Amino acid sequence: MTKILRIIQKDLLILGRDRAALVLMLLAPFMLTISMGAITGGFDRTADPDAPQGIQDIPLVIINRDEGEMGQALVETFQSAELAVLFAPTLATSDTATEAAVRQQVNADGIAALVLIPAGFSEGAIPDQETGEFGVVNPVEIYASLSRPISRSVIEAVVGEFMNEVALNTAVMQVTMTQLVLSGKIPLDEAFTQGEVIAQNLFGNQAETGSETGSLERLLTIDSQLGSGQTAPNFNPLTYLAPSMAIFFLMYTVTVGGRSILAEQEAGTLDRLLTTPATMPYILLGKVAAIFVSGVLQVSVLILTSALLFGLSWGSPLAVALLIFSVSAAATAWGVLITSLAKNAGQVGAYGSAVMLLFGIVGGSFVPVQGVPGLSQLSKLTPNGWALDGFYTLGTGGALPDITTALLALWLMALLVFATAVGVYRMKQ
Amino acid sequence: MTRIYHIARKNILLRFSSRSFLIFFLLLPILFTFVLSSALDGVGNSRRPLLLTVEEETPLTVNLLAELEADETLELVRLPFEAAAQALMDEEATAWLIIPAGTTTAVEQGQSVALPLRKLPNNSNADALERTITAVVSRASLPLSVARNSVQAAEMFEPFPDEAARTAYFATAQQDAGQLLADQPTRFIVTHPPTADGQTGQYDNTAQQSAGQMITWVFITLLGASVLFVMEREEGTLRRLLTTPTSQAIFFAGMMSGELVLGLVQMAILIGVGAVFLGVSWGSDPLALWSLLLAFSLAGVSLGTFLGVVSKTESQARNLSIMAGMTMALLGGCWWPLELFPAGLRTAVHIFPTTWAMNGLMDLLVRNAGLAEVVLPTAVLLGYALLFGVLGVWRMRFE
Repeated sequence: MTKILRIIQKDLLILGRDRAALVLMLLAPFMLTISMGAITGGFDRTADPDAPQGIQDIPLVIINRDEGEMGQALVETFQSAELAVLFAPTLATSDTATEAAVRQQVNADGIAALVLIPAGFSEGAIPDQETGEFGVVNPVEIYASLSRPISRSVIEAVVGEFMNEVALNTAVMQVTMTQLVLSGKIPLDEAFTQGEVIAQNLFGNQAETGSETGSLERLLTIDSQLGSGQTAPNFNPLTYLAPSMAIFFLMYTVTVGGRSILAEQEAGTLDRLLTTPATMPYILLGKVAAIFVSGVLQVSVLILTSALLFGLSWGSPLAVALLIFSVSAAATAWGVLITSLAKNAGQVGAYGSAVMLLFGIVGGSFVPVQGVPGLSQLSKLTPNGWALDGFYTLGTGGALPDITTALLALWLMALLVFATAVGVYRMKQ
Repeated sequence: MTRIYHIARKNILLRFSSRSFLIFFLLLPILFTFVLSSALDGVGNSRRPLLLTVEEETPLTVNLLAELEADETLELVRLPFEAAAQALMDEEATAWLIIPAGTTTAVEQGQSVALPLRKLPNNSNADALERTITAVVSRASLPLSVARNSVQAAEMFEPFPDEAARTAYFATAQQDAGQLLADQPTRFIVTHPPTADGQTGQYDNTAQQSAGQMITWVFITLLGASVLFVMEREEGTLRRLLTTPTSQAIFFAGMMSGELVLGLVQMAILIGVGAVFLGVSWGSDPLALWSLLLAFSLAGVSLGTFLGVVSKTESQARNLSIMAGMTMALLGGCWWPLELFPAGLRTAVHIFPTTWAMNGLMDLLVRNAGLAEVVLPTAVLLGYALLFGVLGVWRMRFE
């Protein structure tokens, strides 16, 4: 046992002195976590758990040529407090020179879109009070940049919802009055007078001003929740990103460890070790244990530092510790397998980097692969896939019993891959 | 010239002497392109599975299902409650919509019903699905809102004799409203800036991913020049070479040329794969495309050379180039559109050559721009090439 501990100590010392390896083991995961955190707005959520996630402050210019209430209502929708986080709207003058300049801004991707409300927009949406007829419908134009597909879809959703309101309010009055007359509840000649009373009741006091922009309650809405039942907005993307990067670079650490086995062989230090009373199985066991310990240390440091620096929480420390041990065991087994297949230390490094990247993309370390046909199943062949499942479960309020499957799968993977590595090693002997 | 050729050839042969190089040169870039095109297609046009549990079959829910089925981005997977819960846990889909029993009765009585939507967090596909479903349900809900208001208005004049009369009145109003809303004229349109050839521009997620992954992986290859520099230095072959009539400048040019050729070949292959297997259109101006890519390659190889000069060991150079390549690609908009970045960061990332290359490529691919439109990114990339080249040569003189 002492011999194994000595080998672990020696290998960890060598690893600790390798600054280049430490860069990839510790600095790189942090750099990428910080980069991805900045992109996803994870740091805003660290400061304020209720901070909005995703796209914000979409720059758009509105030109309103409509002189009625509907155009103004659309402008006010974009300027409303509810959408203040989402949009940074600017109201421009309605002359054609300004329109051309704004279109140029969109062309150059200076702003996300121009929302052009045409003259007569209100007349096409509100019936004439005298005749009850609608004017010609002039559609609003969203002139959107080609480089901002998400901004475009958000603007389109807001305008679409506004237009739904317009259609709804129009339909309400038409259907209501038609039904009242046809059912004989009111005579035809009282329809206009009664219509005003009904409009007042339905849309509040807006009939006086002729506005029909009041929002009617939807009978069917969506109540969005996370899979675990938490309300959706409270998830911090860093809870996923930090372990993603830690596990991604764990594969690098295990191949560095695996490389050291062959490097000892190439440098002749393995022969020197064999002149001591330490036998080959002891030496190999010590080397494998050193890989495992360095993996555990790396992931622990990254997870702990992420928790302290970014205020992240994965719940039960015992569950997190078990998950770290399990994923390190599975990754170590893969590292040993790569080593057993390689002919020299250089090959271990090259194949190790390739496997690290492969597991990273398939296992969901870069982008979540859940729900992507084929990929979500393939991810389960990687330590990344199971470990990220475990961290996600813990990060969204799960406890130790909820990650039992992930823990068992990781240990099963460790056993199977390690057994394969031993088989390959024996065949090569 | 012959010396430059021989140094370049030697470097290319050295790179391909390891079969594992092919993994980074071709296999991983192609795999990443395919995976990211599928995984990040939340704003694209492929169908996404939506788990659906319908606990009652009524005209209302049948109509709602028809609306959901009509959406071309959804693939409905109907499952009982327990099976759907398990499927979401197993991540077979990213969202699960439940239409609970009693929905129809509640709606017919004028009550609002919030349909539970369970989704996976931190998943762009789940967010995209939520937006789509909210829009579809909101649209499907319009005739119901009209019918409820119609019933309320009728009750202002006289109460219904019984519940059946009320329900019949509600159903007629719902039907009329559905017809009326279906006949609504188009009230808004979405247009895009015309492309350089006057066509209608369209965003293409696959083009974004193909271009982004090409930039990422070619950049990593080019930064790999640093490893060769350190190798030559560590093994003493650089000093040996410099005892011959080969000057440092020739050596430098030879090293860069080899890497440059490698980068251009890799790009040509990835462009071909994107065009043939993913249907990516690489613009209509090959001269503009290759001018930009040549400038990018020069910038990448210069930076690689500079990293090689400042790195002390081979492993340091290898690790540094992978880390720098991945980080710059990530922040340069090669993986996600820059619009997702916070405003300050969006400006700050223009310090990276990858950002300029990506912007230029998207101009060519999405806007069908020509040479004139990519002059700026090309010039900036050439500036980077010059800067890092000069820094590399300057630093090398002190060794």
